Amino acid sequence: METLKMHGTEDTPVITLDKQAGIFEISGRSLPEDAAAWYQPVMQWIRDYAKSPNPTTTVIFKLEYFNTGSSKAILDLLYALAEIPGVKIEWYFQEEDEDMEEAGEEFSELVDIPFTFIALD
Amino acid sequence: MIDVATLDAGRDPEHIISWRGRLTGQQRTFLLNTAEKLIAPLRVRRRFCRAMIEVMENAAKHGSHLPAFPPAIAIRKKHDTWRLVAENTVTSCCVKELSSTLQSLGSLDNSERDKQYRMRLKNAQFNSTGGAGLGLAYIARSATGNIRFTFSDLHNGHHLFRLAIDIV
Repeated sequence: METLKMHGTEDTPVITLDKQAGIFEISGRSLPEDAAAWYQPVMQWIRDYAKSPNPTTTVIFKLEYFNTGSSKAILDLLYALAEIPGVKIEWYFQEEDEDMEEAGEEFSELVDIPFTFIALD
Repeated sequence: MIDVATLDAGRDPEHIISWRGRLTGQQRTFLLNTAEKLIAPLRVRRRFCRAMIEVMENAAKHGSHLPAFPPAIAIRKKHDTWRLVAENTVTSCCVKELSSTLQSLGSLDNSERDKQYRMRLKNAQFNSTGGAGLGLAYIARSATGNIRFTFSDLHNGHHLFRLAIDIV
């Protein structure tokens, strides 16, 4: 399966989805104007991956800012990931950034996936 | 500079940033980066900037873009309170619904605003602009106290919408 690598900009995240290396990470700022269109290839990759996933999949979120359009897109990604056995989420946030921690907690309440919350200094 | 007299009545906050002009993606990023450098501590900075992202996106996506009234953004500070003030035109047909939504959000306490946002997120659908219609609910939950807003009729089918929130 081909790796999906999106390099990111000042307002779009770096995304690495690499089945062979077992790396699944979304990081940076997610502020695309049209979040639905921007996340479409990511959603498609996850749907394809779900057909033949690794035994375990840890998806790392290290986001600084995301707009509410991206919130909806991330929730949709999480719903798709929830269909895959052995998926876990690692949700990183700056130690003082209680809103980012809370955003992760909100997502964790909406999907049936184990979340680990990791505070960064 | 932005005219926010009605929203700033009785206060004399320090002026940090004033911007009037188009709010393209590039300009929004510039304003976000500028605010990032100026606001401390991190908890307040992140909360303020996230609300600002939504305010700017709303103005860019839902404003009526009258050349004579370009959108405006201002950041002010008084003691530990950071104030975000925004101004943009909207078509007059939006005023009733927008006002009703803002009043409805304003009637909720903090915990109810959180619940409201979560419910909206859970049920959100993408709209034609690729957004999810969550911006106002997010701004409301970010604000310390109420969203203050005014509409001024421009008598040309458009209203001037002004909004202000404080974040502590």
